Formats: sequence, C-alpha cells, structure tokens
Amino acid sequence: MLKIGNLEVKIEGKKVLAGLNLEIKDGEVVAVMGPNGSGKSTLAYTLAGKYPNTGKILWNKNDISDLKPEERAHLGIFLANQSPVAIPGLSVNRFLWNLYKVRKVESPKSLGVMEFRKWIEKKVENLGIGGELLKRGLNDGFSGGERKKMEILQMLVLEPKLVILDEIDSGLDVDALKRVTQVVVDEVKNRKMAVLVITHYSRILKYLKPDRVAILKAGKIERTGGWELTEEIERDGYEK
Amino acid sequence: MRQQVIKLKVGKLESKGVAKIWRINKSNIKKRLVMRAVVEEGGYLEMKGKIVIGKNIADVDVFLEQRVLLMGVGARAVVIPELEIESNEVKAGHATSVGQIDQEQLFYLTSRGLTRELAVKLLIEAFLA
Amino acid sequence: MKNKAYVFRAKKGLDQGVVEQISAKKQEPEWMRDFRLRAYKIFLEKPMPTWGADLSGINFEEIYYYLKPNEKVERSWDDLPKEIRDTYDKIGIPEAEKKYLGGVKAQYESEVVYGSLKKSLEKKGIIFCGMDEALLKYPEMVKRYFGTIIPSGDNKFAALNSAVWSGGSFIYVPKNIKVGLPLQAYFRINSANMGQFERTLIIVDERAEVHYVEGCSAPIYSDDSLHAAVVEVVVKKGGKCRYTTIQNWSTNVYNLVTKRAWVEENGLMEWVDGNLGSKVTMKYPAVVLAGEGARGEILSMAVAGKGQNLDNGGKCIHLKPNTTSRITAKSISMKGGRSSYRGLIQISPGAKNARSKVMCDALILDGKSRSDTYPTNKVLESEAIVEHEATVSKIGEEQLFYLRSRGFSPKEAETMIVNGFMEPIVKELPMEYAVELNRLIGLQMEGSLG
Repeated sequence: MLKIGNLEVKIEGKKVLAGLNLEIKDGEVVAVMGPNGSGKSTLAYTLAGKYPNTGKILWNKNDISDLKPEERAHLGIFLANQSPVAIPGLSVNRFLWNLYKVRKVESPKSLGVMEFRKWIEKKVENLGIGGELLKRGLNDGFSGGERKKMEILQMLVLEPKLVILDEIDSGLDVDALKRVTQVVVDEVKNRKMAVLVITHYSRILKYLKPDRVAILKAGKIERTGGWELTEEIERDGYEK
Repeated sequence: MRQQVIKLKVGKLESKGVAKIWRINKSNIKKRLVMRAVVEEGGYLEMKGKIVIGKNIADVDVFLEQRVLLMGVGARAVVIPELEIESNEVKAGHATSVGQIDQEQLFYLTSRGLTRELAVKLLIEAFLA
Repeated sequence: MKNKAYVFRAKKGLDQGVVEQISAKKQEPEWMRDFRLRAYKIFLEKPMPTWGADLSGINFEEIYYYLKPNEKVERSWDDLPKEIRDTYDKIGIPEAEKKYLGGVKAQYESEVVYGSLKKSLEKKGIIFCGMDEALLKYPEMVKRYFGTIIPSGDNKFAALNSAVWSGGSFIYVPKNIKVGLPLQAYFRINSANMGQFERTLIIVDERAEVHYVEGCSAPIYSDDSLHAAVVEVVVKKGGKCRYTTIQNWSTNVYNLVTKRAWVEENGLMEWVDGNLGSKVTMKYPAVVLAGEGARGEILSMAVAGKGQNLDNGGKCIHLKPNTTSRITAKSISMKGGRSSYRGLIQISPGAKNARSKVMCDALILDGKSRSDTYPTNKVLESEAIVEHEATVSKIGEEQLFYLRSRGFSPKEAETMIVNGFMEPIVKELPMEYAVELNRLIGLQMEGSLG
C-alpha cells in the first residue's frame, strides 16, 4: 500500500512536483493523467528513487524517501520506464536470470537455469516478442515497442508488489497494447499487484481499467474521480 | 551545442595541412568541433585534431568530427584525431571518415537532369556548408 | 665452422659474447648465429622510442639474457606476492595450476595431453613444436620466413629479441588443412615457456586454417622485468589464422611485443589481444594486406589499473585493392591506470576499393585515471574508404540507475555494465578464458567506485 503525502520535488532549482498526494492500495489500479510538463515522469522516477524529495512516500506505513533505488526494488517497487536505456553486451537472457536471482527465491520451488529459460520463452510468446531478442544486448537496437515489452517481461520475473507504468502506451500498437495490458491485468488478479498507470491518453485505460483516476496538473493532483474523468479528458482535453 | 567549424579545400596538386588542439580546462562545456575538407586531384592534406581534457574537469561533452572527400586520382589525406582525457565526469568522442562523393546522392541529382559537373559542385558545396 | 669451447655462465647484461653463447648452447646453424649477431649490432644502434609509454625504468644491465643462476630451484608457494595468491583463490583455479602459474612447479601435467595431440597433428602434416626445435628440425622452412615479416631493424625491441630469442612456438599448416581445435601454447609447456624473449613463427599454407591461443588470464608472476617477444605470421592465399593472446603479467613487467601478419590474396588474419597485466605494455598487432581481397581483423582489449600503462592498438597496411580491415578496441582505465589506443591505418597508392573501419571505446572509471587515443589514418589512395570512431566516457548514470532500480547494488550494476562493455571481445575468446576474464575484471573493480 502506497501513500504519498505532500510530495515536493525540485529539479535544477525548479519545483516540478508541488505537494502531491496520492494513495494506492494492494490490488488497485490507479491512473494518473496529465498534460506534457505536468510532472508525470518525475513522479515515476521519484518513486523509483532517482530524485530526492520532501514530503512523505509511505510504503506499508514506512517512509521510503531516503531509500536507495535497489532498496526500493527489494521492497517490491517496479518502474516500467518510458524510454528504457540500453546496456550493450549484457544479454537479455543473462540479465533476466540475474534478476531472478536478485529476487532471492532460494527455495526448492525456484527454477534452475534451463527451466527458467523455458519459462521465459513462454512469457516471451505471450508478449509477442521475437525469441532472438533474448540473445541480444538489453535494449541494444530494440524498437520502442520492444523495449517497453522488455520492461513488462522483467516485471513478470520480479513479481513486484507495485508497478509504475510510465506512459507505456506511447509507441505500442493496438495488438501490443492488448497483450501488455492483459499481462498486467492477470498479475493484478493473481497477486493483488498494485498499479500506477501514468498516461497522457486514455486509450490504455480502455484495456487496463482503473479503479480511480487522478488528474495531475502543475505538479499536484488537481482532482480525482472515476471512469467519467477519462471521458471528460477525451472530450475537452486538459485545459479547463 | 556550440559548434566550431573548420573548412578547407585542397586544390589540384596542392599540399595543405591543418592542426588544431582544443584544451578543455574548465568544467561545463558542451562543444562540437567539425573539420571538413575536399581534396582535388593530386592534392595532399594533413588534418590533425586533438582534444585534451585535464584533471578535475566535470560536465564536459565534446565531439570532434573530421570528414574528408577525396575527389580524384592522386588525392590523398592523412587524418589524425587524438584524445587525451584525464577526468572521468566527461564524455568525449570523435568520428573520422575519408571517402568519396556519395554515389547515391550523385545519381539522385543527375537523374533530375543536372550535369555531372554541376551535381558534383553542388555536393561539394553542401559538404562544406 | 668455429669450434670454440664456451663456459656457460649465467651473467647479467648483454654483450656479443652472451649472444654467441646462446647460439652455441642451442647448437644452432651458422646463419642463425650470424642473424643474432647482426641483430645485436642493430639493437645497440637503435635509440629508445620517443613515443609511447615511459620505458626509462628498464635497466638493460640488470637483466639475465640467457641462463639464470639457480635455474632449477623451485620457488616456494609462500614467496609469491599475496595479491597473486589471493587472486588465484578468488577465481577458483585448481591447486596444480596455481603452483604452475606461480612458477613453483617446473612441469605441468599437460605434457601427457600434448603427447597424444602431437601424434594426431603429425598425421595431417601439421607441425607444432617449440621454435628452438623447429630451427633444428625444419631449417629450410624456418630460414625462408624467419625475420622476413619483422626484420631485426624494425624497432629496438625486435632487434633485441632477434639477438637473444629463446623459446616460442613454430606452427606450419599444410595446404587445405583446417586444424579443428585451437592449438594452445600451454600444450608444449615447460618452465621455460613463459620466456622473456619468445619468438613465434606461424605459417598457414594456401586455404589452410588454424587458431593459436597463448597466454593466460590468471596472473602470471614473473621475475623477469622485460618481456620482448616477436610473433611473425604468414597467411597464404585463401588461408585463415586467428591468434589469441591473453596477457596478465605481474605489475613489475615491461611487456613490449612486436606482432605482425603478412596476408596474401583472399587470406584472413584475426588478432584477438587481451591485456590485463604488466606495468607497461606496448603492443600493436599488425596486418599487412599484401594480396587482393585480403582481410584483417584486430580485437583489442585492455584493463589498466593502478600503476599500469597499457599502450595498445593495431596497424593495418593495405597494399592491394579490395582489401578490408577492422579494428575494435575496448579499454578500461581505473584506480589511476592509463590506457592508450595507438593505431595506424594505411592505404597505399593503388589499393583501390580498400575499406577500413576502426572503433575504439574507452571507459574511465574514476578521476585519477587516464585514457588516450592516438590513431593515424593515412589514405594515399583516392578510391578507398576509411572510417574511425572513438568514445571516452564513464559508466552511464542512466544505466546505473536502471540496474539499481531493478535491485542490483551499485557495485553489481557497475560490473554488469563493464562486462557488457567488454562482451564483443570476450565472446571471441575460448570459453575458459572468458569465464575467468569476467571474474578477474570484477575483482579488479572492487573498490574502484571509492
């Protein structure tokens, strides 16, 4: 359960998040929509630990504001990046295997290398990713859509408690969007995973139905509501 | 990004040389350095560009681009891009290429009705622009 | 033929007498003795290079050029520097190997392995033996090529090697024969193998193929402070040769190597060069593309740590048309180390349609270290294309954050990124080297983030 209280983030002297409040319970899908420059990506990165903040970020009642990125990952927080970086030479297979080990699933149920490979191959098929990508360097020369799917693949390996989807819809065609959202929906259902969907357009929310919608403007949550808010945005845009 | 450009034409049977050393001694510099030359028949060019970044410098992003077109029989070039870097909060790079006029570009222009001489002249102008 | 009785004494320093002693002890033919003596004169005349790493620490007078005192005495395991012993432990090298690498054991068990390998090679007409042996058993072939690719006058250290060389490998592969498995230097091991002045000659006949591997990624402790080796390779029409070296000499060693391949029509030469150790390394594997359609590829890797200056790169000389070359160099400097790429691409007049591409990437891990790039591109043929790209940077912040946000510690993240950086070269190494190498780089990086 995530509770953000009065979150303020300054980047290069400028206040990008100016007192943001938001709550997400286990198993909830919360959409944060906003125009360009409203602070959407900053919110995503701040939760992942890239920028320092004032205010509180409570994760299961503990303030994680001072925790390092890897510590937050160990708590089960996962950021699906908007433009994932490439790490040439680090093969996807090897990377995913290391991720699996990081999860520290040291139990008789944990998979050996070959079983893990087979498991990955199945997931890769579900997501509509070409198998050859697994042998290549992570995101090295991958299209935008392929990179986004890689993020979701990693999410499946890490089984996080909260996933932040930072504009995952941009650059995905309808087929890809359907596959990706289906995978997320299944995780929500099976594991009560919480989802923070950050988006500019409402298209993705047709497939990944939010329990609540929040509008982010000028670094703050301006208002919250239900599905009707997305229809309003679609009709009138963000200017009001 | 600030760009500094050095352009050079080496005529038929001429010999020319150009050497430039950029010493980066302060932090916070973003610069692109471009050296371009066209070498005609029998011409000889020596082009040397060197970037030196000393110790304790931060936030620097510099790139040296050297491009040489060899235009005819006997055109020659010696191109030397050097880097000496003693700080690590920096990004430095260079790209050098020595070659001929792009045949596809040439075909494109002549297929539009331009004579070969004119097409070549325009491409060289574009290269040195 | 002179018949002089020599008293074989170990002594420091070099003079004509020492050179004559070396030749006499090996019972060499007269031409080789004369070759050595001429080379010695050239060595005296040639000045030290004025470019490259600082070689002022080499004391020529303090070196034993041939026999060493107490040659057979085995060093004790405890005498080895602690860092070397610790590294062997950490990378999981078995007991026997540890002792061999430490110079403690004189013979290595692979003598047995080598024996049976030798028989199967001989059946195909493949010659693989020590250089000393080759000179005596195959004098015509040796005489035909020895010193022709790298003449004694090439540089001061080639001259030195030509005067006092001892040990090294000789390989001849007959026409159309493809040697199925890599020939490893350690197959013909004995304690003299890790020699100071090794001389290697490889002849690949028409359409033949061979892969030769030498060196070791585990650190080799050497008493000798100067290693000046010479490697000559001839690749005939349609032949193919790959020469892989991993060097990890202890940090008291000056490692100055001259390596060059002469490649004929449609031949291919590949140098894979890994440099981890030594105080100073100056090594520029070269390919002379002397026949139409000949190809050269150089993969160079250097990891320069504390107190090290690794000056590496490659040279490709295009003499004929339709030749192609490619150099990929990757280096890392850390803890005050200095890594320099030094390269030459030369396209001679008449080498029409020659193509060359060089890519050098360097990582500097901290502000104490240094990275240089000194490439020269001599395009003397107007119908050729030469491209060169280089980048120098630290490990990307975004990449670090990305991996940390996935749960890896900063150190783990750094190591993964560095291994990814080196991957294009490491993947060309035989498996055992690759695994050890990655672990070694990880070890070297411990504490490098401060």
